[in-house]
Amino acid sequence: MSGADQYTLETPENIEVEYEPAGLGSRFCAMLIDTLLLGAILLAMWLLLLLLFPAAVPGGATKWLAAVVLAVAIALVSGGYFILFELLMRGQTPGKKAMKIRVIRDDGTPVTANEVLIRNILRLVDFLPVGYALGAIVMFPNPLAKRLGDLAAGTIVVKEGELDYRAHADTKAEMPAPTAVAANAELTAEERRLVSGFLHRRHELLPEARRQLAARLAVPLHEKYGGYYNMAETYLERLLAGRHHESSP
Amino acid sequence: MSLDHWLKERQPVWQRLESIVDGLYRHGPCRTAPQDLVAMIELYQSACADLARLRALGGDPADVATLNRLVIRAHGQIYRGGPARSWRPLAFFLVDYPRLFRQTWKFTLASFLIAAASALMAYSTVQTSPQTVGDILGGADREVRGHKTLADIRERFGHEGSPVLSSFVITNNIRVALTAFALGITLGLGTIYILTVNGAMLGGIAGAFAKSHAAGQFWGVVLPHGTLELSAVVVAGGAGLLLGYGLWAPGARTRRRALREDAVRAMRLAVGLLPAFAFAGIIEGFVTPSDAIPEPLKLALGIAAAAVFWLYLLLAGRTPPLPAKDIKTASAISAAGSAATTAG
Repeated sequence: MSGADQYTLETPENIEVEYEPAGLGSRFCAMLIDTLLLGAILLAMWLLLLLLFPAAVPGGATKWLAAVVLAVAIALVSGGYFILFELLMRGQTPGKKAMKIRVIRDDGTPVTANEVLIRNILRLVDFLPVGYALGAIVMFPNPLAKRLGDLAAGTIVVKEGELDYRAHADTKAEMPAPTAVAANAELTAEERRLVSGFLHRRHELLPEARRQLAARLAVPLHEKYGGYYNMAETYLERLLAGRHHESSP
Repeated sequence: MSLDHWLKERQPVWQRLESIVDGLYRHGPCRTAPQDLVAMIELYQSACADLARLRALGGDPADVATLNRLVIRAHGQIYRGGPARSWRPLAFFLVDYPRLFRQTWKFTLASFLIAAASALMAYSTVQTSPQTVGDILGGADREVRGHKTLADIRERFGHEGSPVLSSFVITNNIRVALTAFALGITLGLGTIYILTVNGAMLGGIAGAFAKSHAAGQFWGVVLPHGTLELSAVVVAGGAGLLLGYGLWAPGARTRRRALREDAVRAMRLAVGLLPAFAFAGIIEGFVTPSDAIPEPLKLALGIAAAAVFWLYLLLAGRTPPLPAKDIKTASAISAAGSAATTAG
């Protein structure tokens, strides 16, 4: 979750929200699942069509009609699979749902028919010359991993993790977490995030890694902000609370 | 109050918001209780404030990320820009589409000129040096193989007219047309390539048939459906050129913006052709191969189809001219309006 890979958008409430663009890997997997599913559906329809067609000649009007319906359905499914699902599932296909990714508009709102049609017709070009090669080449240097269809439609594919509220009762009760209501305003936002991230999750680390990480954070911060330094972790706790100049706890 | 304590206190609020937003993503606003929709706005605003607070206080990044995701999802539902407008096919095809065509007719003209120039060149080249026909068709090798398989299918399904054949032809033509539009994103170069290849192929084959004094036979097979089909392909090429031109010369817009705006217009121009392709495909599947319909009737049908198509593009959706009386009133009103503006 480095800052460079994120897409930040300011809401009308002046709150910055961060999107995490889905990468090449998860999008490829989603595409693979969709392709397999589409193949299976088409195969089933083809078998049905072949069963019905020979009987179409000797005046079997019902079967003839069924053949027409199926022929049209095959055309619609093979051409409209992505369009249909992205419209019905609001930016998702079965493959995207399995990979927990979703297409949204650049402004964060759900996709409309315009975007769905553009990005999926542009698939024809992204697919060129074979296997989405062009799309992948375009996606690779793009910080938001957009293929040509996304660029034209103004869409972005984002990760959509589950909202799992961490159980604050169990793990954190054991470890004293920083309880400052107002964090040290001297620190930059990035420093605050680093320090508090470490303090919140240090119990998940192996003792050796935890000790090394604490030192790597604390030493440069101590050089910058000074104060009373005894133990790296204690220093970080007190620094975050703005009490690093006090000599006793 | 400790941060953890505060988090625990706020959690029910977030979970309530989450369940409403989840319901919206699943079932849409119509099947969400009105009081939930009202409550959602307030819940969303407080979640925004909570997110800002949690960030400023240096909360656990995992909690920040969770709350961030919740705010994103709620934001997406709240600022979705008006009710999802239902698509009105009648208004689109009777008014919007022909108007769009007339706004962008220059691109269709350019598309036609490219294809026609390429066809004429191929035609005359084959006339003067017949051995080049292989080269021209060699360049379109895959297309010819496509035609060969189509011919095979035609053999297999007989000459009675076939829904399956129609369906294949329609699908194939629509793919070519949509590709011509989509390739506009290569600065229009891909679209020009497709138009050139298809034009050369048509001209080349026509030239070869003419050379062997069988031109009538060729046009008898191509024209019944070809008039409408080729017209539609030319318009699809125009859509591709429209998309590409915005990238060359975006005007006062940024290129990114030009791409996004022109993509919408070009997509509509291309997608609106689908009924024309369906109709051309039905003719190709049922009329062209039929032995029961006499040749002149087939030709007449083809020409009539194309004529209706072009008249529709040029004339449909025009506002009827105002009677002279109304024009006078309108200009009086606008004059009064501008006078008022100047005075103001």
